[in-house]
Amino acid sequence: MSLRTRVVELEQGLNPVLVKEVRQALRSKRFRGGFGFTVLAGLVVAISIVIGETSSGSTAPIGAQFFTGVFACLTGAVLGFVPMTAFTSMSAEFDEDTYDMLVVSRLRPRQIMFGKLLAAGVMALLYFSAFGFFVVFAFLFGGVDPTAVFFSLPVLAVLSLTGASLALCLSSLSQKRVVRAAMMVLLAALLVWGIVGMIALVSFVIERGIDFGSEEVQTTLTLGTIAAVTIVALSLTIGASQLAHPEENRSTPLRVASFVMAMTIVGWGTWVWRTFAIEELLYVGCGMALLVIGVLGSFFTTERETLGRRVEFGLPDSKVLRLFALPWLPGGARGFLWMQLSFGVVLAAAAILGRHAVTGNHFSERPPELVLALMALYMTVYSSLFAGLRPSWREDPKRIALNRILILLSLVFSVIGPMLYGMVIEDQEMMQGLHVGNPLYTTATFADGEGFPMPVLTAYLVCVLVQLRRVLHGTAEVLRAPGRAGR
Amino acid sequence: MSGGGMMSEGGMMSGGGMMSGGASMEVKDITKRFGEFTAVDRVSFRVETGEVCGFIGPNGAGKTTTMRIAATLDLPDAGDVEVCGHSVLSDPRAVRANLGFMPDAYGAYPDTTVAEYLDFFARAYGLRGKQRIASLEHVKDFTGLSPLEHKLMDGLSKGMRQRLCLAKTLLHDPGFLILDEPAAGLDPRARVELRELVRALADMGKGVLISSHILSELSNLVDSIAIIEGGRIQGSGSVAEILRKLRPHVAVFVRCLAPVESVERELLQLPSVASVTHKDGGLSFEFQGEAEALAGVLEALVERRLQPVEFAPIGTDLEDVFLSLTEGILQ
Repeated sequence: MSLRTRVVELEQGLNPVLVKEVRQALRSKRFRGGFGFTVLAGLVVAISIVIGETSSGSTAPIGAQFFTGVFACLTGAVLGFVPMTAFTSMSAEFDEDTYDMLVVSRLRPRQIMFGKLLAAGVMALLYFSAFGFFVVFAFLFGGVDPTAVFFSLPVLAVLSLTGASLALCLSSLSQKRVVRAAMMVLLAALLVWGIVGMIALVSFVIERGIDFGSEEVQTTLTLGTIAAVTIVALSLTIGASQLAHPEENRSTPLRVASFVMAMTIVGWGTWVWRTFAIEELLYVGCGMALLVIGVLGSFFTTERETLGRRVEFGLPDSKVLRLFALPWLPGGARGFLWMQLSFGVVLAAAAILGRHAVTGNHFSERPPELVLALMALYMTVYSSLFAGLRPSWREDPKRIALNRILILLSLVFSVIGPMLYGMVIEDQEMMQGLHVGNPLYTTATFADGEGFPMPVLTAYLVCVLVQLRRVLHGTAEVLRAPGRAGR
Repeated sequence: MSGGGMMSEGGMMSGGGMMSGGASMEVKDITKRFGEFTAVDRVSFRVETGEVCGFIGPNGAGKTTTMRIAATLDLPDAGDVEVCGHSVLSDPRAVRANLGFMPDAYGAYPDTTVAEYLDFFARAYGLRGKQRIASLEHVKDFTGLSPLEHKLMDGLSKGMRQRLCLAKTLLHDPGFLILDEPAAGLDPRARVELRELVRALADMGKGVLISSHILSELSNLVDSIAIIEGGRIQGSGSVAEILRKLRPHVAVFVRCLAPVESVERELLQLPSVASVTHKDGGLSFEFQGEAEALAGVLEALVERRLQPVEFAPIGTDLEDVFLSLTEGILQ
């Protein structure tokens, strides 16, 4: 096969959104202007540094300062301009009435998200290539550690893609302009924070150097990579689900992605523990996984209750398969099941893996899996109590949103409420937050050897009882649905 | 063509993805509510293969909601829509492969040429290689956009944009087309051109559902109509069928050189003649007999030396039908 044929085939297989976005970007005044401005800024900074250093009479190599200066310009563009362009590109699909035309084509929501992310990657690549000659000059000036440069550039690229995927996710959350404006402000704040942090990190690394052989660097890089991959995967999944029609199955891909993410975190904890013999990190990983499940599970348990007509026709005909699929199907009751299942898997992993612990670096007087189980009980209570109490709150989008706010408020109130009450009755312990409504305090004291907090267990059992009827309804709905045979 | 459409080597588009004969689209008792408000209430009608169906109704009647449901962009709370035999509920992807949807408000991509815009949608519809190139050439030729392919979308006139949107809609050679207010904002020449394009598409075997406020535009184009008001279908079927239902008797206008009063007197004595009224210096009457008997009326007028100079059935246009069937309900 000739090279030309291969190139043509490759071009045919490209994501249509990527092709469109790149064509548009290369012709747009905004990209051309932004690109020109960034390169010019880099040039001005570079010349200023050279003139400043040479006029000071210093004979020390200036490569480090030179690299840090131009890297700051590159960071501003790649971590600021690129994600913001991704945000406005997605917003424009809603504002310019082109979204419907994408939906009725054969493009799938994830193709749209992925195409826009790849386009952001291409733009970032153009910036990197433009700054290539600055990097060459930095080396020519001397005094710059190649390891630090080869650390900085890939980290910036990964951060840029992470920022772009986050931007796409935030812009797809709502078709209402007001909400998207708020999301844009949030994104801008995050990006400014990211840019400042990245410049500070690279300045530090350029000055002190970096040892890729050290445990700390390896652990941090692994954690950072997993965090970035997780954010990208989750952002794309959330964005794709938002682009799907509300009646489509938005939830299953998210549930699968969330579960995979939780398991990846457990895997990371296990890897760190096995590699560096830091046993605590296994449980830290499991705790983080529980937290992820708890937060995302709060959304799933408060979803609209019904399956949706289109989902009903997509169910397998086998009742057994439907029962297996139950926790992964849309609907609040099934979200509750998903949360319990995921908690169970993480706790089981903690218990089984914990048996192979050999270092004995226990940070808890109690078996760590029991401490983790207490965390899971708390999260179940907060996330599902309100969803179970008010059936009428499970269909109306506004009430669903209120329900989700109530979850957060209940967490805050369970900590602050008893503190205020303690002030009234002048109870010092309650005033200081040392009460059962404070999950952090209760978990810590239980880990230190205090008895199991029975009120939490009671509240959990009440929650399960409240949810039981709802879960039975949710199960019956799935079993009754027409399925593929009913098409 | 993947996705169910077919385009011959010669470039003529056929009713891709169609079943041979029968309904191209069937709306089956659909209901759509937005909270307490019922936008579409048990709406049913069908559009046959190769037929242009005018979808008529006042603003807020439920036209766009019905069209969006048929285009898989919304789901009905009850009922179903089948496009080329595929259900929007259970098989939306197959529906999309067989459907071309031209919304009333469609957007333009800035900094994009006509060719790039069409190329993007050709890719989005899964067209590849020679098939994509052929499809692009055909739609550009068919819609007359070839000379404008390197022009930026921002610089196109409204009429050209409508053509571009229609071209995009035809790329995957769908068997059924939904055109929501395609003539809105077009000048008379562009409207005539659009009408010719739509007629040509129907002649290729495609079913077309077209909505418009300009009823005179539709009257020369449609084979059937569906009139919707207050979310409910007030009447549907072929134009002739509806007219027959609306006016089972023929209305006739007659003008004679003889005095109107004497003509009126004579007419009332004839069998099957009723409701004689004065109109435009002549008389109009309702004839309740067969077509052959109508010739007898003319013959009688001549025999009685009333000297008829005009004698013609009064036509009923879409506007009359629309006004007869709707009550001006605002939603």
